[in-house]
Amino acid sequence: MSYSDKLLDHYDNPRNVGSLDKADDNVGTGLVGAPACGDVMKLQIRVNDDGVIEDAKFKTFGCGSAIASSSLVTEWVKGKSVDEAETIKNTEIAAHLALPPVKIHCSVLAEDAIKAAIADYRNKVDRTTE
Amino acid sequence: MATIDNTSRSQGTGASGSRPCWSCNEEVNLRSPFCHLCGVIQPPLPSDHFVRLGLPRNYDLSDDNLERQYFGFQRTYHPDRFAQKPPREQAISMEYAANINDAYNTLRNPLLRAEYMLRLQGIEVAGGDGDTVADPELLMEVMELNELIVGANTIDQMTSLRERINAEVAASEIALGVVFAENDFDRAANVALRLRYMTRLSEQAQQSAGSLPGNRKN
Repeated sequence: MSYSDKLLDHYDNPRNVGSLDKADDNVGTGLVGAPACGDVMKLQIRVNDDGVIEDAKFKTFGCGSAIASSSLVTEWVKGKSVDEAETIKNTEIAAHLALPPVKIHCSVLAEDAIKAAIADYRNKVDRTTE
Repeated sequence: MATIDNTSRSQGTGASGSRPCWSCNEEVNLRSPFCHLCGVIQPPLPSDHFVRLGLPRNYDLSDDNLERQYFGFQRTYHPDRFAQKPPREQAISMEYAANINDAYNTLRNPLLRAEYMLRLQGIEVAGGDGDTVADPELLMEVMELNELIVGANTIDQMTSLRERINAEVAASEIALGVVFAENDFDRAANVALRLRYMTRLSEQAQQSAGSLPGNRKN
């Protein structure tokens, strides 16, 4: 099985590894896992007052494809509005990284992670505006 | 030999009723893998791993019992015993032998056994291919343990971490025995998921321990 250059690049030089302050009201945290392979992925976004994602971080324990997928997503969502970021599809991630069929589930994980982070952020907004 | 045949005759298939022997046409009890008239081996019927090994469908099973049943059935169906028989009988015996190996390999592994028992109930442990789970408590714990594995850089740290993870594995196995005994399959699915992650962490910790400087195998 040969991996694409883009995938290897994200794997060798993952972007935006790290954590944001979970307690911050502007930070949304998504934590998802793929038990089939034991992967666990944490993806966080910080949203500014204009509803734009100004920072994104991830921490993934899993295979190279899972790491590359989450790295790519953090890169993609930065500078996007929350609504735009929500439309990211796993198929786009898989296509960009040229994931082999057995690794498609890693891109699903990344899509679920960003969705979960956005949902967490929205929950916080709802709570503070109530 | 007589004992083994008795075991296999009473526990071979778990079905009731009869079918004609493919060799002599005599009606043969479905529970019997051999024709009582001509002694020829009958094709295996759809069954489950517990029935194949003549074991009750319980999560808790003793290793001794499992081994004894497995080796007993292996002797009964070993292809060597059919080496002088016609090809069809050889093929059937090989099918039995393969089924028994499959049953043994599934049931002796605590995680595979749990997942298999859930599958018999029509429950697929979350995270079959492509599924993701969002159980924050479990995932936080898994994340934290992963970080500790990556961060452990002395043998002592790694040893105590491995003890902690292995204790989680053992606790999950005990819990599975309890919830399966209560037929609480929803909880069993949750615990099985936890066991899956903990087993995986245990493997990772073992791997990392092997790459520590001055490592010793244990």
